[in-house]
Amino acid sequence: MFTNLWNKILDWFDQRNDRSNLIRSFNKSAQDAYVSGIVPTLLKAEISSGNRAYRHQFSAMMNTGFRIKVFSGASLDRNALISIASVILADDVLVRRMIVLGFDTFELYGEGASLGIRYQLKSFSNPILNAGN
Amino acid sequence: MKKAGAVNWWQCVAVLEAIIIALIAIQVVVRRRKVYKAHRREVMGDAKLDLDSTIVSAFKSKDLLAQLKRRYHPDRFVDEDKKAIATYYYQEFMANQNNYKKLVELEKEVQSKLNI
Repeated sequence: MFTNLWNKILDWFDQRNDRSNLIRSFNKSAQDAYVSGIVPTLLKAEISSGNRAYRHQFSAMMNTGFRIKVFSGASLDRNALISIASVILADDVLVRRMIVLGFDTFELYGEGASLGIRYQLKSFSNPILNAGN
Repeated sequence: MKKAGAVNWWQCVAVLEAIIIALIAIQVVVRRRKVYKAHRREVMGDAKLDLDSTIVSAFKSKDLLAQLKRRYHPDRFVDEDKKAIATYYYQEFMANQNNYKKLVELEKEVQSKLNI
């Protein structure tokens, strides 16, 4: 019992560490791409509270949302946000990593957080099984 | 009757023993954690995760795909061999439509094969 509890505590710390590493790597890549002029828009990832309706079996206890904020000179419309989100969610490895790390919600917000879209990560975890949906 | 201030050697030995046992236990735990962390890094490491490519793809893949679809559409080729190559690559473009890096590689391949 003690070992189980101890392992749970260690796993919790590991997961927190991995989550921040993922966020940090994403932000670093986004900043590098923006600064070097490869992409016209700066993306910034952060952890959010997520949506309880999207929870899955391995969701973390709290802060289950992976939020990306988009900064661009011009305001992006809904279609542009959907296009960016669909490409990011098409990255199978990234989606699976997010699920493993306890995320269940993917959020993409435009400038000023006035416009945003939200997806359930579970729906993108297995593209073959979900192809019919 | 014990003298006040006299050193209790047995107590010192017991404390020393406890310290040694604690140090060994800590070392064992640390070693196991190191092995576990190395394994975890291998599994969860950033090697398999290409975030640079994902971010670039989010903005560039759509335009590149449109360009490739227009330029290498199978209906543009009369020669049967070239048409077959174009058909194969058209399907590859569609399968990798969200992967900018892969699309660039495919473009180079199709250019060399179709001599365009």
